[in-house]
Amino acid sequence: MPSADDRFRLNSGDVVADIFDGEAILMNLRRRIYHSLSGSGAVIWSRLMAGASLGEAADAIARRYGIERTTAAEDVLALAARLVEEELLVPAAGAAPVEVAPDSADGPSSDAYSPPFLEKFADMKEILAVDPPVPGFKGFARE
Amino acid sequence: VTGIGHDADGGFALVQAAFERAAASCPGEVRESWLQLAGRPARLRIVGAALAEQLGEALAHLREAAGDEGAPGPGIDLWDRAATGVDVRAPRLKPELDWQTHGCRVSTFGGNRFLRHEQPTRLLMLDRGLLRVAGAYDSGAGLTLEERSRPLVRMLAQVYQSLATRRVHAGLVARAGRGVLLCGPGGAGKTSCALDGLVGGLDFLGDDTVGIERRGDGSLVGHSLYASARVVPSHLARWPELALRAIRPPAGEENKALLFPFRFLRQRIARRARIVALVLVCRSGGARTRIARAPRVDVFRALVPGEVDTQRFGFDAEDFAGLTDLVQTRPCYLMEPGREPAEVAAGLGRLLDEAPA
Repeated sequence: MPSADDRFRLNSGDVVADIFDGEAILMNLRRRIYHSLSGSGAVIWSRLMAGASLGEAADAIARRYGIERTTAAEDVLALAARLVEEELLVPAAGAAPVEVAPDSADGPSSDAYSPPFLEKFADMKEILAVDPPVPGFKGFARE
Repeated sequence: VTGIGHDADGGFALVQAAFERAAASCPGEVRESWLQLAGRPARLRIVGAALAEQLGEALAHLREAAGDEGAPGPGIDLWDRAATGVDVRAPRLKPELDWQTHGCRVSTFGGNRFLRHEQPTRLLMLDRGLLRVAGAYDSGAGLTLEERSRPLVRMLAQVYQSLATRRVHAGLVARAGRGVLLCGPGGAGKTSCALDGLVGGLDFLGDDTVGIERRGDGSLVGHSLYASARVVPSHLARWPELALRAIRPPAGEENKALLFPFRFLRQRIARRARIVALVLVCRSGGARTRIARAPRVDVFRALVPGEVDTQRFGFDAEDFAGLTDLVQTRPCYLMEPGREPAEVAAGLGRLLDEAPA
């Protein structure tokens, strides 16, 4: 289980991610699975990507949703463990503490708090029946 | 052709050589034309008049004046086995990837440079290094409406990808070079919206397959691939002017009719348009057309799952960045098409008017 001082980074060799209107889409290109994080999960993701430690991310959501710090910490640590398990995050080995700039999502939210939930999308059978998987090849000399 | 042995090219050189034999043996049957694929000239040669007619119609809007034969660029060489008497068998080799479904086998060779696509009635090969397609069809007379509507779709998707243009599962209509991308899963109503737009005065670029190119200046350009549309026959009543021109499916064989709007609305078929808005189409059955802002993530999902799946090994961080750029920087709408095609077309036109320049 990760600890509050731990920092993580994107598993950038395999994973791409972006946030759309408060929802994070995390795509593992190697495993061909994509994930979604909304609500508090997207806020935590945003803070971790900005370089925050798990403890700092917990502070952010405790402030934003007005919840107990211990609840926030438990949820952040549990989410981080899931993200590592899904190979979306890797430890930012040797990362020094950084000053994390405030985010627009850091302010108080009127939304009710719900624990972060990592949604997983892997059902691609219907589409696979239509077109074949084709490995990437970029050998053509583009202008 | 490739300078690579058959083991490495999966038999591409054999297929190309067989094409040359077919062309030499039936010179009167050779149909040569030039197409513009994602803005690049591509030579299309088909031996067999019937096959050329059947495959060429969906691509007719991409035809252009003859290009430079010696210039590097895409080339497509196909022949009709029945019309020419020339056959070729794909050599049995151990592929790098081997994938089968629904009577279709796809395999790759030579570090995934060569792609082989086999079905009982055809053998197609693509050299992704030179962007050359070579292949044979049993007969030009036996193509289904689906095949006529999107010929060589898997091969051309790969060619587009090599030209930095990603195929997406979406329709595209436009006005004055500015386009609205129509997204949504199969059955959502993309084709209906595209045809509503066409009948209502917009330019048509595709009903469910287009290429998207991200240019250096930040613009995102949609490239038409097929000027065709497939419609459930019972839906044709929505467009009486199109229904008369639809090719109906043979009883019991296919479930969709085929339209080639380039035949009768040539001036409204466009090759490319700058994408300025995205619409997530959602069939609701309501009488009136409704348009609202759509969550970007829903539009992204409508575009991406198919992309990851259909080209799943080929979807990389660059592609992800291209699609996120598309969805994050253009206004996204949800459209529930109503019963009146004119209302849908007017709604699409309004979105084009309102989209930032």
